[in-house]
Amino acid sequence: MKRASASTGWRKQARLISRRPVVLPIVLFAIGLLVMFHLQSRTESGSFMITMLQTSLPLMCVSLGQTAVIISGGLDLSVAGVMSITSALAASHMTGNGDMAVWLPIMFGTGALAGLVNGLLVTFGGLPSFIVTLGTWSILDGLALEILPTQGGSIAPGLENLLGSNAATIIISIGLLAVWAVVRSTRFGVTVFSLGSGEGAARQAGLHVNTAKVSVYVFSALTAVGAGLFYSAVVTLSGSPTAGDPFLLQSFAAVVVGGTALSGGKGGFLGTVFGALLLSVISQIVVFAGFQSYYSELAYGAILVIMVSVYSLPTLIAKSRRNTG
Amino acid sequence: MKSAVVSADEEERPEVPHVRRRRHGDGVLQALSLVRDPAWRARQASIVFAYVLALVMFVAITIDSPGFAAWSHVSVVLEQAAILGFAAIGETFVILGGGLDLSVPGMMSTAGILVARIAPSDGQLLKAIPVVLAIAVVVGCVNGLIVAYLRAPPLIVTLGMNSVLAGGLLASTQGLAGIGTVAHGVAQFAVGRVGGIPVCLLAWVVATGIVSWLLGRTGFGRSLYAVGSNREAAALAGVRVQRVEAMTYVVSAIGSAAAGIMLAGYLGQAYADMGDGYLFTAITAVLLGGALITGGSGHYVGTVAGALMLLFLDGLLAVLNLGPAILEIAYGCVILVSVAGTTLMTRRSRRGDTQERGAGDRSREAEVEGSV
Repeated sequence: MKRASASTGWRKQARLISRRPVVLPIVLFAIGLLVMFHLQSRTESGSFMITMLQTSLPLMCVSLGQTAVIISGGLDLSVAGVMSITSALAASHMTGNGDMAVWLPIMFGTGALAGLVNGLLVTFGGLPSFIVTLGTWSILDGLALEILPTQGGSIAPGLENLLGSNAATIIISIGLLAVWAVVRSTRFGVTVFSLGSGEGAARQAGLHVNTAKVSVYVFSALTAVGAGLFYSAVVTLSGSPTAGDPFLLQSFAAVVVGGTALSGGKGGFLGTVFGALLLSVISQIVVFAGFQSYYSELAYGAILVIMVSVYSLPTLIAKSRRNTG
Repeated sequence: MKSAVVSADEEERPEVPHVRRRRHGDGVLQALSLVRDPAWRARQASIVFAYVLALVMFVAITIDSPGFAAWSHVSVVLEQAAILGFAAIGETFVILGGGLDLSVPGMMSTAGILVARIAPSDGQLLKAIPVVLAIAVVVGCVNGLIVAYLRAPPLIVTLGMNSVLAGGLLASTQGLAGIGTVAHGVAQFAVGRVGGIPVCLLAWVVATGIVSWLLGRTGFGRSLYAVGSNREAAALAGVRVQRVEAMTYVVSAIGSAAAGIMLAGYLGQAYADMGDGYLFTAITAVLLGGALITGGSGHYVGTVAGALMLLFLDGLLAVLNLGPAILEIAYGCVILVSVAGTTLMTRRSRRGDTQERGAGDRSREAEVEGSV
């Protein structure tokens, strides 16, 4: 009886999931865009925009999984390792078009396995997600280094032809949003949201909490594999055993700037998309303003710290009001 | 499923043996009450276990290659352990308080580069050290204020701070090109010997003493355990939770800065990503030392054993002819195993504790479990 009421309940809840306003990330992105246009007028072309979208696709893709994990109340540090091992595998083994049929499933399988280990340890071991994924990140980084000791290698040209076109860029972007829309409206998605709001309540509502908790890490790892593939095959055209490392901070930054609450339960991928786009606009601004590209790392770190603080302010203010009032 | 519920329930319960220890004036009573406290026993056991494991590793390597145990070699290993030990001081404090500091590598590199920049020779060292300390305090304060007062997740904040530091360093050194050599005094601090004993080892022993005193004998130490065990209970007991929490990040930045200076001295030079290897190792050393990742349980004496163990692991892999890739895989496995081990051990000891204390908690547990 409990089950029956729950199954109608989650459908209702799917509609009720707070439509978080994504105004702030959009405004920030728009400001960034204007600054970029001001600095370099040739960026106002459609082809430049497409290229920018293309270079930020890996970040968007990995941030899709990160968004889901953070909404469920966890953190996934191992996405960096999954991206690295994907890049290493691709550049060392998937060099010809014929290898794709074998190695693409292997890569996604490796990612899924890593996610499964994360998910099982977090869910059934009762261990904090950040330390579990920190451990698997280290393991995956080591494996990547073992597979591909130095930067280099080449990736099946067929993949670049397939994914590198402008049309593919737009299709993949829309595809990512579509995946999110589907995930959000399924029972899995609702469970992920309610996990972040309160695991006990989600359990009592009869949702399959454990399955969802494990799945969200598998989902995150799979998006990281996709990101690693796109990054190596289209953006860098080679492999690196540390390809994923910068994406850890960037994925957190994209999610945080996008307005997803780090405490879980609130947020969405649309904000994350604008967060990711904002980051790539910032890196362009850094270059066009005549700074070295190293400054973009500084800027990413700064924007992460600042936005975490900004989003924490309302809680602080509410708390101090309660104390004085 | 069951275990997750139990742990969530137990996080609410205050477990503050150190405060209790103070209240018993009588030494014998105090000792008795401690020995009967299962959580305390579990903690001592995990520290002893860490030392036993370190010893076993040392003996194993020595049996395989007797040269390892020669003082000329061991002293170098101890130098490296001391650098790691300093980097892990702050991480110990932060983890005891229930946080995590990922800005250790950034702070270490910053300190190393600054010392090389400001003091190319011994004359300017008196100027360089205060500058490095001041910057460490600022970095620690920013981390601490945002984490403690704005309640932002420590992992995210310190990761961002690490990126700010690393990006700033790369920009100021033009990538990896800006390698600077360090002053003779800095090098002596790391590799110098007093009567055959490395200076930095002596410094580490002194630091261990100071840290143990801070943790065990001061109000700050006891407050820290209280905050790490149960924030709300500590606040109700009158602990200035936010100040204590913020302080741990300042300690961490200062410890990392000291480690960075030592590392620069050890390497004889400084470069922008010199500290990167310490991201995993500093945390791993603390966890290997038996500290609980959720805070409130652990001791720096355990971290010392953890640091030694990691260096022996390094030696073990070298003996077996395994490369840096395997080392990184091993670090990851060690993190997972030690976290799982400590968590299970503590959970079991606390469950025993619950049964001793009475049925109140158990009935609440049963209530929660029944509803699942």
